[in-house]
Amino acid sequence: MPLVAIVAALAVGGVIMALVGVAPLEGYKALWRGAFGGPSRMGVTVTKATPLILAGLGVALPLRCGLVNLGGEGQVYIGALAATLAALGLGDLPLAVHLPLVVLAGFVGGAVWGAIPGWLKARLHLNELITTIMLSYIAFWVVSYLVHGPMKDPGGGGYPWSVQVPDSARLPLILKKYRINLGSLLALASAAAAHFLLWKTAFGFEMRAVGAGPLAARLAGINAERTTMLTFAIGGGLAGMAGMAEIVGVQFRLSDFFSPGYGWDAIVVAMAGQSNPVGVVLMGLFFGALRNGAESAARSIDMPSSISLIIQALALLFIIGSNSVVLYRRLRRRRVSHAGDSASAVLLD
Amino acid sequence: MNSLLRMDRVTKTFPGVLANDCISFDVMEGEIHALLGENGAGKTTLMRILYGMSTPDSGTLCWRDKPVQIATSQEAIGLGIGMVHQHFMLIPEFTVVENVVLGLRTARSPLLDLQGAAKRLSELSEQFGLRVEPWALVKDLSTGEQQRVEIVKALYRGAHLLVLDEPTAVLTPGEADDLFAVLDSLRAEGHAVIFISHKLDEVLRISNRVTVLRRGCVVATVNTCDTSKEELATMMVGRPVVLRVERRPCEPGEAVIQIENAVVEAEDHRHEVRGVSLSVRAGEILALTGVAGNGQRSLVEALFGLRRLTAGRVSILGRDISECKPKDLVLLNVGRIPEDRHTMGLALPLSVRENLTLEVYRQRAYCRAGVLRQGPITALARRLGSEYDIRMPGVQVPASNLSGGNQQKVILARAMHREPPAVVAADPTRGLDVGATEFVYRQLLAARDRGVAVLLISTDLEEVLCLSDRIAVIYNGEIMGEVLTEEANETQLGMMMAGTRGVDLPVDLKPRATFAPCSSQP
Amino acid sequence: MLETLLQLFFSIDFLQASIRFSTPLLGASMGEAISERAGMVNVSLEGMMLCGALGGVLGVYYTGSPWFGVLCGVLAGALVALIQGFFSITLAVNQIVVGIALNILASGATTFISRSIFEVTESNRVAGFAPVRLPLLGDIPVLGDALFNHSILVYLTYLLIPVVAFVLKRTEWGLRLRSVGEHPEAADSLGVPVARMRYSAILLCGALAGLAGCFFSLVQLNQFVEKMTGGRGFIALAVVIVGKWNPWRLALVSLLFGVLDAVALRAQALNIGLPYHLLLALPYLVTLLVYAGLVGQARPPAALTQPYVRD
Repeated sequence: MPLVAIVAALAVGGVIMALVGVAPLEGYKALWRGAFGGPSRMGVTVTKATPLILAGLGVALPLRCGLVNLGGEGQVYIGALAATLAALGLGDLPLAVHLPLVVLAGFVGGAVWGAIPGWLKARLHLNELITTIMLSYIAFWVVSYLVHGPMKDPGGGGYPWSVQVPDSARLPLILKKYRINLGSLLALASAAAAHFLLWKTAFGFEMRAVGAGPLAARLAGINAERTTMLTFAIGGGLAGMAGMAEIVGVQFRLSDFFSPGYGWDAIVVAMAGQSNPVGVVLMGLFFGALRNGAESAARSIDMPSSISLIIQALALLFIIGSNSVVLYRRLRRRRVSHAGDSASAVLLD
Repeated sequence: MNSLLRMDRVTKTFPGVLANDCISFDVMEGEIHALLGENGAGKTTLMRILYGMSTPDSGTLCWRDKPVQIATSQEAIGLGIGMVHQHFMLIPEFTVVENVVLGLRTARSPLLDLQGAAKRLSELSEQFGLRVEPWALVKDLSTGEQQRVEIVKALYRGAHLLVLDEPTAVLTPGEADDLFAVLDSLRAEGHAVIFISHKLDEVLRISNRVTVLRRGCVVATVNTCDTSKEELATMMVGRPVVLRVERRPCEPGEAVIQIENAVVEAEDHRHEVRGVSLSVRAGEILALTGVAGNGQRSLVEALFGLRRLTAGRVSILGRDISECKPKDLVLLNVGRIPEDRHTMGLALPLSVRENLTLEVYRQRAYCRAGVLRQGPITALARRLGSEYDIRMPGVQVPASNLSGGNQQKVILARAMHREPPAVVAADPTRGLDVGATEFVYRQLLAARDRGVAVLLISTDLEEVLCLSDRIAVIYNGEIMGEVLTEEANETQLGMMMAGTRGVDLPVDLKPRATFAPCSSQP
Repeated sequence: MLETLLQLFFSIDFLQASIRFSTPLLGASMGEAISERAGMVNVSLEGMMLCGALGGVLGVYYTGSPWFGVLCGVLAGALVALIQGFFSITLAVNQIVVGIALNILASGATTFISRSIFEVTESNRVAGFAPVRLPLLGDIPVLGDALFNHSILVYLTYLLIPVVAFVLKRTEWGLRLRSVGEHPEAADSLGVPVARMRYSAILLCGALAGLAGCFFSLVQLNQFVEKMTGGRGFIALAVVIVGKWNPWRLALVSLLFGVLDAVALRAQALNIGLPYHLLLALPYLVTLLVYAGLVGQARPPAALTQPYVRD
């Protein structure tokens, strides 16, 4: 029950707040206000949730196929890079043409970066643990190099960031009062598309079959290698879109540390959301609210914003912990031994 | 001769299965006592109890006439019981010495004293004729050598009673001879051996006494010199309890499944297929039987498209499928029922309806432009559910929610609903209750009556005798013989399963007991 | 260009820097190698190092003694390892996901604690470990300065290599540890306490990683900066594989990465023309290529990442 785990994590968070001298109730009230107090705050929450949802989908889909995508961060960076290049490099185009190309570039960039470990796993049987993490750091430093060098904005005050992207490549605001941009809509649409893919299409069925019963899927004729590679690519593409949304929707220029760890948070979002697109949206909003709330609260009460990270990590730990089969077995055994100990009673089930 | 071990009225039950039923069994010093029985007879459970890996529900154990409780392997080792498992407990990356010494403390603790251990190893080797190379890596050793290491490992720890579980299953005849020489010298030195086997020849050759187990009970304990192969075979196999299923006379047509000189290599040499030729005709059930581990699994994997034939040919209705992948077999409409329900038969987390359509979801009826057509899929699932009497709350529940019998029905439905011309079924009733078993039998017989060619691979002799028209026995990757079911008897089958070729059986073999053929419903 | 390169590689500073940069990698990878030999992968190595870095600073901050700081750092790393061990061994859940969660937790917790105490992104400066010039050995021309004029933590870490190698290969405990990572069932059948051994291994790993973390905060910078380990924990994971779980090889591979790091640093100063940031990506690229090239040859302990649950 992920809900129980999340509540437990919040409870521990409350304890930590108390330890630094903040009354837990006050602390959470401040968090709530920070996340939902007023239209602009709510808008920031949604905007912060957007890349979490997209990258979360990028982890959730491979999870359905039995793969753990640890390279989200790298896919976010490459997607952002590709989107920026498309934004800056395609010249003068009307918004209706430019923007879709930028979005597409973001997807393709991330997809390529996701396809690499997918291919390495399917063909060379290289464990995705190492390959995805290495690629993440390579991506980060490549972008770092570019924004310190070739892509650096000469009139940008010396900071390591690119030229601002033109208006024709920016995600427009769709809810002006809340300052929510098109990216959030794209995130929702992607979730819907992911849901459709997973449950309504033949390929989605293959993904789930390979994840749920690889041997049975093989016996039934499904090509597990091909499914693996494609799934990793799609996951990468979604994460790439997270990077795209952040650049052309919020920051408007590619910079050095633009991602506060979206790729890593995505893993928490995906697992807490049970690898389910709907769950991912909900968890993305929840963790987005948590982050936003914590950052705003840090200004008003004396509590570092990193409390949100702590709660997030605890939630994931408690969720995986509660999935433990061993725990389940031990609890069952304890219940059984209370039920009168005779030889036959031990054999339930 | 002193009594070493006595197990008195030991009983052990697992959920739904009475593994050991009031078993009494004893071993004397200087004796090799064989424990004979088919798979599932209860031998392994009994030995696990002896070795502290399982606790009996009731019964007592006595060691040298003193009652003992054996709760852990450590305690068993402490008493002087050494076990050589069927699947070796050796660490491939370590040397022989390291494996032998693991977990022991010496005078030079905490430092390892490999040199000293190697010396002691050599002494033991000399004493019992067990040639081991102390510094070799276990992974480089042959299975025979590895087995010797396991034996030395037990002796190094002071084992006085050695338990060997199907030791010759992994040995060549030459290595088996070597093993028997070792067992002889162990016996001469006053050690005792429990020799678990299903191979009658060896049991007769090496043991002093034989205890035969069947379905968890002791059938008899006899002196080896007082018994014969035929008697042992009959005791081991027994009179089948007949399931009442109707079977019409067989009217076979053309050959549908043709296996010609199939050779399949496996990583584990004992699972290889070494030249099998079989032919199954339309409208007949050919059963391939034998003790598990004689090549059936590799053959089945090759027939399912999961493994390639190293040599030989398999064809269905004339089409060569030797190189086929599972996808091709689906397109060719070959019904496949795998032996492992939970890993190969079903994707347990997926719903029943998804499992049922696992082979057909790409067909035009169920899928348009990559999008699944939920209506037709659900309709198919519902139809199959009622046709095959699958008891479930609905087609959307995960397959893991279903009982074993209903899960098997799902697999059957998926394999057979497209009216395939050929069906390959591996152990289709394993772990099923009587009702479910009966259902499976009726389905297979109905298919056969419709003209389907059914290849049934099963280790259950009763099932084989009940369902099939012809029986082929596999041993060590080869076919020992083929008989018509109505002419078969257990003795003959038992001997073929234990390694005698059909042509070598005595001509005047009188069946010790005939069995009643499956008769019609009362 | 060649001249500049030669100038680069044969300067004392460069050699010294290479050894310095290699030390935390060496410490962390040795710890991880011990843990992986017992069958456990710790993606949370990064988190262990980070907590060790903070622990080190806090220890010195409150007592003034750098050695007490090291003790705190080691304990902090071991604490993270304990949590990882609980989830991986006792609860037998997916080690990799636990590792990721712990990394996030460590990052958040260290930032949180540091901010709460110091109010800014960096901690106060604390006394650290100044370089100690070894008598006699330190007087050797050129090499003496490069090799024997380091902080004591460097000597400590390098001295651990033969110790770890000896323990793993020549002691009964080492044999049991390795057996648990290769074939826990066989080890269990011989009475080796699998869970206990795995806990020991993981705690050792945490301690060594904590020590490695101290290196950043007590030797290199004399303060704690948020997220200061900068991904070294992940490189250490790769070092273990490339170094084939052997302490001596780990030292070589760590040195290689130390060299790459030193090159990047010097390149920026010397203006070689190779872009600084791409050089920073080089260790990861090299790791990836070596890993891909090693496919099939680097044979990990057979039971790596597999939880062992008795029936």
